[in-house]
Amino acid sequence: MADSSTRSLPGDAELLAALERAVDEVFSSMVCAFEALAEHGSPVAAAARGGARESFDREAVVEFRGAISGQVVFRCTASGAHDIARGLLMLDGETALAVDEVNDALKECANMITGHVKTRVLDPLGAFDLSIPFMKDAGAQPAGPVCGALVYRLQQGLISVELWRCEGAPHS
Amino acid sequence: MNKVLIVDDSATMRKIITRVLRQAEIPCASVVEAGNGVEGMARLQSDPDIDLILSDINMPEMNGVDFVKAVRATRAKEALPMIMVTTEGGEAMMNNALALGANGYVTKPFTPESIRAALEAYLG
Repeated sequence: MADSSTRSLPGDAELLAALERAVDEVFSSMVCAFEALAEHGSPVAAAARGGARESFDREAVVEFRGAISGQVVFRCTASGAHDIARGLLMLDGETALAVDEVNDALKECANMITGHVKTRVLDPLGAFDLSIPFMKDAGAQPAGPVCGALVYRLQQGLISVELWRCEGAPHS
Repeated sequence: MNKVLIVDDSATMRKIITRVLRQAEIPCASVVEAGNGVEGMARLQSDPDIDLILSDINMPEMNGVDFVKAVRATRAKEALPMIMVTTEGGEAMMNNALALGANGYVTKPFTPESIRAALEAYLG
């Protein structure tokens, strides 16, 4: 068995690659069709390139704590949020959803994506804790450097999946 | 199976699992739900005919690991199978849950096939 104490901590590129694999697996198996727009990009810039007329106003977050600490932030436009909720719940495009149902779906997406990253990249480094997923006021930046953002176009909206490190946490 | 208890703090995930049980043609008369381990224990007391539990791990109030411990204090593995359905796919976490008395696990994201495979032994 590998000794976790001798493993080097993952850099931004490795974490972002793990995040991308997590999004691919979660979306392709359980959510809905998606198309990557940009890697390592800013969601605002990618949204502009994608012709978005909506702001990223829904935000679900899962924090991770261990040898490195940070957040996975799952932002989406209002129509993207509904796309995701309908996809997860296997509903047609006409089904109306309550705000709580949409928020719960976003939190579950953030949870599955973060869990995937934890399993593949963080767990080999030692013990990590994940927070319960929570909704956050849109637009507030986490306190720390961003590893990167992955931006995707859904059928009707856009999402940005971001990985942020906690300020002061060691990183390579 | 008569009755399945789904324990997950996400209402979305409880709905998905319920739907997947039907898609996977898992024969069960009914599904009941709880939002965490505390609610799960209460449900077990009020519903003694529950004969399989599908439980998340990362939940508020009482997480899935503590829920396994609490259930196994009174119900044996053979009497009440517990399958963990979780994003916590790490080997250490899974081994811990199995050592405490979980019968198996499925990692999220999952497919109807992976749910069915995990439940196959308990379908009678």
